[in-house]
Amino acid sequence: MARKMKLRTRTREGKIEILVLINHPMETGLRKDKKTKEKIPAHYIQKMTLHHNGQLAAEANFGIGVSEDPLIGFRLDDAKNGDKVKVEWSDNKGETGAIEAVVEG
Amino acid sequence: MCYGIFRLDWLSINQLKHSSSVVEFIQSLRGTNVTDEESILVTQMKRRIFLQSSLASGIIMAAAATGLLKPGTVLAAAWPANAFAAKTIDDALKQLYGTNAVTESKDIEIKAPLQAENGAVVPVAVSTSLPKPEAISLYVKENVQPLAAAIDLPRASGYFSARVKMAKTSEVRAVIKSGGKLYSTSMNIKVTVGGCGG
Repeated sequence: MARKMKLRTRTREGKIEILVLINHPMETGLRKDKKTKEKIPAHYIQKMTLHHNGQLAAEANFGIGVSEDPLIGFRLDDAKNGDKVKVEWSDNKGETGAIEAVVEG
Repeated sequence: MCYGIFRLDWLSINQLKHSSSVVEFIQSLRGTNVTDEESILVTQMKRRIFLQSSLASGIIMAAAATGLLKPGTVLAAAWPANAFAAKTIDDALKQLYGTNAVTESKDIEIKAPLQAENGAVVPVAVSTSLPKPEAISLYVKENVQPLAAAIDLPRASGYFSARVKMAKTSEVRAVIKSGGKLYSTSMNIKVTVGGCGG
């Protein structure tokens, strides 16, 4: 059930930016199947955390307003090349994922 | 005996999935081994707790009740369901921060297209020069559920970007918590119906 994830780091405005891409439908639960007229059940990411060298740097809560295949960006004030970053997420159906990377500005 | 109310940290749940027993779970969270005496205590507690809902909550309860886990290790902010269910920005703010008193601020910048061809994918980036930003939240006023994302920033800088869905042309609002106060700015994004670039 592992979903595709990508994590990329870059320097923006003097800070390290962490960009995460997750392949996820982010289904709102409001859409209807055009053929069966039945509601498509909600399936979306609710939590995401960013750890920087093992310490919690950001904790995000998402609703259904975040687009399909979310591309999320955070920035770190005190990060430098070689630091470890880790992003983890979980959705409303209990699916989870994690990705780790080394900062490269 | 007091169980208290434990909100499950999703990370703990993650660890729980990989643990075959209470003892292993406690070890993985504490990072130290469980003594023989403690493991007997856990076994006794497990017998006394009715594992009604799920194995996971049963294990957490057993671990919590024996006092081997401090609440802090299990406790983490739960997903704020009420805030996301709110139909207005004011309501969502009250649910999230306990107040909807926001000050308009020029120190917050929203980077987004003035006109979005596809309302399903609108890139929005929020940044701020406010000191010590504690939290960011992002709203699309005309959406059924205006709150799109709420981020706590224990250490990261005052920046967040994502792609959001927009039902129609709407005000997009960013709220930043800094020094216990709420600051906000907004911009209007036009959504072209049909997405053919008109």
